[in-house]
Amino acid sequence: MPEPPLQGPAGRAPDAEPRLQDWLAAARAHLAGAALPPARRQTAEEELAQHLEACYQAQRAAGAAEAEARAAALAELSAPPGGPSRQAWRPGPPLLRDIRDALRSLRHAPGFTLAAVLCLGLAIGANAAIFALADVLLLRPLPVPNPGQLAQVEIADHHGGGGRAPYGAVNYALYQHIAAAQEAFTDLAAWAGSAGGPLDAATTGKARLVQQIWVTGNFFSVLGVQAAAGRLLAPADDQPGCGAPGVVLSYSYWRRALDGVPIAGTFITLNRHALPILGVTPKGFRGVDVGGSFDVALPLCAEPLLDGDGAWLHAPYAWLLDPIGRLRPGWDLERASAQLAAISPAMFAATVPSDYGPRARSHYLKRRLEVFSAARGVSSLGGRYASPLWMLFALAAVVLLIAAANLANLLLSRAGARRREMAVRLALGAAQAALARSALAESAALAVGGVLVGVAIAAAGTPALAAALQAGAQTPWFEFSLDWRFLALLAAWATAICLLAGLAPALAAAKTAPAEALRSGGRSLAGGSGLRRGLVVAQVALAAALLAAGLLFAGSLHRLAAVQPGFREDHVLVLDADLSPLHLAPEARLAYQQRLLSRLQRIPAVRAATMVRVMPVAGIGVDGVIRIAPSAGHAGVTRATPWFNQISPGFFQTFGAKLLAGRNFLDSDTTASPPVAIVTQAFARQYLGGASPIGRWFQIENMAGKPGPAYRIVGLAADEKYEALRAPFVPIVFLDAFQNRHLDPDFEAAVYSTMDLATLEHEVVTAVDGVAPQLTVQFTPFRQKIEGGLRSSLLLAWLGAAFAVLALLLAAIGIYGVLAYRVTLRRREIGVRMAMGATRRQAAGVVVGTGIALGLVLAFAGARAVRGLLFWITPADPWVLCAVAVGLAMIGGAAAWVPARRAARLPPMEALRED
Amino acid sequence: MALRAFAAELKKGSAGLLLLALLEARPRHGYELSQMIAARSGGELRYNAASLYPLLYRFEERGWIRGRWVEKPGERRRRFYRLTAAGRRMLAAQQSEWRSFVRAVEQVTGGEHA
Repeated sequence: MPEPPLQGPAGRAPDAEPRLQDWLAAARAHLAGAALPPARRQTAEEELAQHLEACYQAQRAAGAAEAEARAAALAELSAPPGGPSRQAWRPGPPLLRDIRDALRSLRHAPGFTLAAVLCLGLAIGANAAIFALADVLLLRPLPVPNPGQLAQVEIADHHGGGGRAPYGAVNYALYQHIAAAQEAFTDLAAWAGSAGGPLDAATTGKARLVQQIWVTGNFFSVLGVQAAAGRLLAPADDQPGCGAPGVVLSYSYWRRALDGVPIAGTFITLNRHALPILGVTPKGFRGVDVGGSFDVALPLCAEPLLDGDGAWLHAPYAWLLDPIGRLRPGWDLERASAQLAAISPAMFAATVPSDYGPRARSHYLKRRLEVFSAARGVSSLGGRYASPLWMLFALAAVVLLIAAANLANLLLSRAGARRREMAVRLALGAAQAALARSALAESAALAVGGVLVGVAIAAAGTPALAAALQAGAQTPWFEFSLDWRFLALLAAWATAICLLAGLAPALAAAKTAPAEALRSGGRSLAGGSGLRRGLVVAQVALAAALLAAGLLFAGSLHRLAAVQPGFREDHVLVLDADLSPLHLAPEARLAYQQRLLSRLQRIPAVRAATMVRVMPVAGIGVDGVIRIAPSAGHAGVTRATPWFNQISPGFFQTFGAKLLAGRNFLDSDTTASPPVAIVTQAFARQYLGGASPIGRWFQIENMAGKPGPAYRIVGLAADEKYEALRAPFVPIVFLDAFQNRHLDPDFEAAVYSTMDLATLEHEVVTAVDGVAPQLTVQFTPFRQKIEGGLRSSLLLAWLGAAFAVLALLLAAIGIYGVLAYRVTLRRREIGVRMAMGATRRQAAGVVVGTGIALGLVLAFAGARAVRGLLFWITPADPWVLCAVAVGLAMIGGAAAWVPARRAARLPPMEALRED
Repeated sequence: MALRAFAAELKKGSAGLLLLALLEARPRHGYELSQMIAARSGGELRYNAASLYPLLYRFEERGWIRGRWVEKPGERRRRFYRLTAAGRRMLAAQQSEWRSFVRAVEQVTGGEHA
């Protein structure tokens, strides 16, 4: 049988004559419900199509009109007269049939299916993983009964315009006064983290640090926490001078360190004190510090004993306690705040530190207490990560939007391509409901596939994210768990998108007159293609925004990494030893520390060693007010607030910091010689008008505003970073630790060695053992200290980059999907061009060119859109915009190239014939 | 209505016989079979595609007939069905069954009228 001619009889549109494809579609539709093995189905489709075509041709040859012949042929497929007979196809059960049909039709379109499922899966996986993080850090309430009643008392920051102060904690005296005078809480507890230094569970050698929380005796009863084993602390355990009290372990520490053995009668050694273990907190309880955790909980009364010389409980400046309590019934945060504000003057008047000067005193007396909700815990970590997390959440939401646009696009394209099939099925008398049902089945199959892939990605990605966040942490902060409710929400979202975008075209097709749809050959899709183009535009614009955001994050991290900190970051090992168990008199501490340091310097592999009070870029700092003695002929300030550090002579060599002028500290600088100091360039710049600081004098004011002894500046050091890498250079004053008669009982030092750090650690332990066998030492590579401070920036940069890649991937899928479809529609045009002698390259160029032009325009639009999304990074970096445009254009080009090439490879005759 | 149902039942019962008989002489394709049944019955018997092909496939599964794609130059390939040995035995059995049935029916009904 010859092919139907491309040109029909005179006066007839060329596509008015049905083609074999139409009969095939009719046969396929007819057989859709039949239970047939695949090979048989293929045979049956082809045979039926031929049969219909033969009927049609016979009718036409006999002189029947086109419509009449078509109707006669289609009548061949109507149910046999006399109702259903044994001879009809055996149908499968309707639901199974729909699902089987859907799976079959998806298998026939592997590119489409893969694109849709991946797109859904990636979006769901990424969102679930980010949500798991945000949930733990920002959203989840404390695992205690009625967390909504919990509130904490803080010193409000009324000088900074009100609201939460960065350091709102109270000292012990203030807590005791508040607890006695407050009326808002049923009971007010308080707790402190390991701010006074972690405790050591080792008896000798390398320290085994544990994270403790110090709590008041009523802490657990206020929270309503029940013991998982033994008992928790009670008010009776927290009495002044409690000696060696009981300890409560966290569940995870109990399992980790003690293998979960029964705790009755067991002891734990903390800072050389054997303490009885009372009980274990329940699994999942990690204290009230969000994202924090603890290993042991101790009553506050034991702090002076365990922290020894470093005890802070009764120190007036130890603002370390966070009061927390349950509001009385009928009391809300506002009323509680009002009551505490009312008693504030009396509270502060009763606790003003005795050595405060008039200015500090009046400042202190103006403070007010305020009450904040603690339903989600006290969020120190949450605070640190909050803004990056919300940013990541926003990025994840954008990915979700892109995926939605993408999916809608893919489904609409597919529906357009299948319009003819729908029309044929309708012409055959298929019920609209049946069409809708098969569209639903297909959408549901896609949604299920996407959700499964998404769950797999989330299940793999969440622990990876948790591991990345907690890398190098002493104690694991928290475990992540996938939130099944949120996953269900995402699954519902995916299903809704699939159903909407899958069902709408099916219903629209059902409304079209079948004959018209057949005649148009599924090519007149003007309305649908506008919507689809809009979706691609939206998607590429969003992808451009994400890409810009990702590049900006990566760029800022890169700039941070390129910062010259003014010191060496590698080959430096930081040591920390607590001397308080030795109970040295303050005067004896200096000699002891000097002895330790010189022992360290004698280790052959150690090139330099130094004591250092404020470890650079570790997130801590000490500032103070100084009076600079005026000098003849030099302008400059007389009162300033520089930052301080205490070092020993080896500092500059150990950290590779530069001394620009003057001299280093010398062994001859002792407590008996006049005090000397070294300052940095920023000091000279800011306070001395750039003049040389050497030979100038300054005095340090004490709390009362009285000037102390005079220091002579003997050296000028190059600028170096102080508290954080990202902060600008600040003026630093270095004092000689060996001139300090009142050294703290903490021995903090750094050693420089090119030896591998693990071996070095061993050498240091051996050396320290020789001097002080009862001492334990904590080691941290300096590099790790630096990265700890950068962790939230790193997280944002990595995940931002990951999201940008994801957005690009989704955009590529979307562009590919739509262009592949358009190429299918334009095959004939491309075929004609090639038949007329256009080279394949040129034909591909038509499509690729369109893709690139679109990508460029949208990258620009997208970069403008990102401006509103990025609230703390300047978005107008021209390099980033360029990179976004070029990147998207390349992705668009690549995505367009594949279908274009496929079209161009088609032999011209086949392309012409197919249409 | 009752007559129509009777005719349909007859058609159903005789379908196997008809198809097998038409294939006895030589292999034929589906469209040809439907055309021959219509032509030879003077339009009385018609099998449209929706009922013809399920029958053919069922017979093929039972091993009575066997379909094979045949390609000829310049034409679309077509599926031709030929009778198998089992089909031939089935045809013979059905033919004798049919003859005795018709005879019996004629004897009964003709007897009344005669």
